[in-house]
Amino acid sequence: MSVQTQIDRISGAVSAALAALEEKGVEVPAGTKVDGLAALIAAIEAGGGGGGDFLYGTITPTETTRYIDAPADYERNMAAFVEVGMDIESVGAKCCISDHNKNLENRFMYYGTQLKYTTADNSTVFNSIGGTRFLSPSSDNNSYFQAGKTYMYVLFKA
Amino acid sequence: MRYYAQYHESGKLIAIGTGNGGTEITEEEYNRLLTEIRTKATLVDSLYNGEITIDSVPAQWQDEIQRRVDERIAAEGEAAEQDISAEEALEIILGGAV
Repeated sequence: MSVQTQIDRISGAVSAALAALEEKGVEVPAGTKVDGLAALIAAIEAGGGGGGDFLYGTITPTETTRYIDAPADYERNMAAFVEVGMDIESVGAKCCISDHNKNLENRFMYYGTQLKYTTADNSTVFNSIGGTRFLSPSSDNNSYFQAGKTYMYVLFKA
Repeated sequence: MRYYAQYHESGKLIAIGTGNGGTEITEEEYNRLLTEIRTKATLVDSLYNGEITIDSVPAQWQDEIQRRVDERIAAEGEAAEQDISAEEALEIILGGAV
């Protein structure tokens, strides 16, 4: 096997590995070479991110805001947010699963162990207004994403 | 664990977090920013509630903290003007508080 063939084989393998990492939800910077693979693989093993049909992480806004832009992959079309440390067994826990391609339709609220479907005029906490932006349905400041509070999010495909 | 900072198109920091997306930062930077974000949030609450004056806020943060308090007043009104519960109102009327 010639040197060029070996080079082509290795180059192809590196490209395939980088593509697989992206499928796993790891952000691969442009121009990444083989010496960058180890760090990217470690990002999978360190947890967080997910991959495939879902991505997850946390987000802490710097200021109280009615809307928040999901920081990760824009191809997922449903999302859930829950405040870290919130007791989700209690009624009224701030968690919402929202189909962010359908604006104010088809939203679910998770209360304790029950997954409830809510209509557009019900009191969900965070709605999507399309794309990756998620919006509190109310102009009440208390329903907003609060400055300094950490929210766990999951983005997943319907 | 991957840590990131999320910026507005203007360059202003709007959020930090863990997982994918944003601009990757170190754990140390994440913890530093988290402390600063939460300290500022506490200062906003305290200034809004009249528990401190702007002089108690670090000089480099005063403009930001005052702006956020002004925005909150515009959105919610002065803290002293907040609605009170019926129980609180009754207690005041009967002379139990204030």
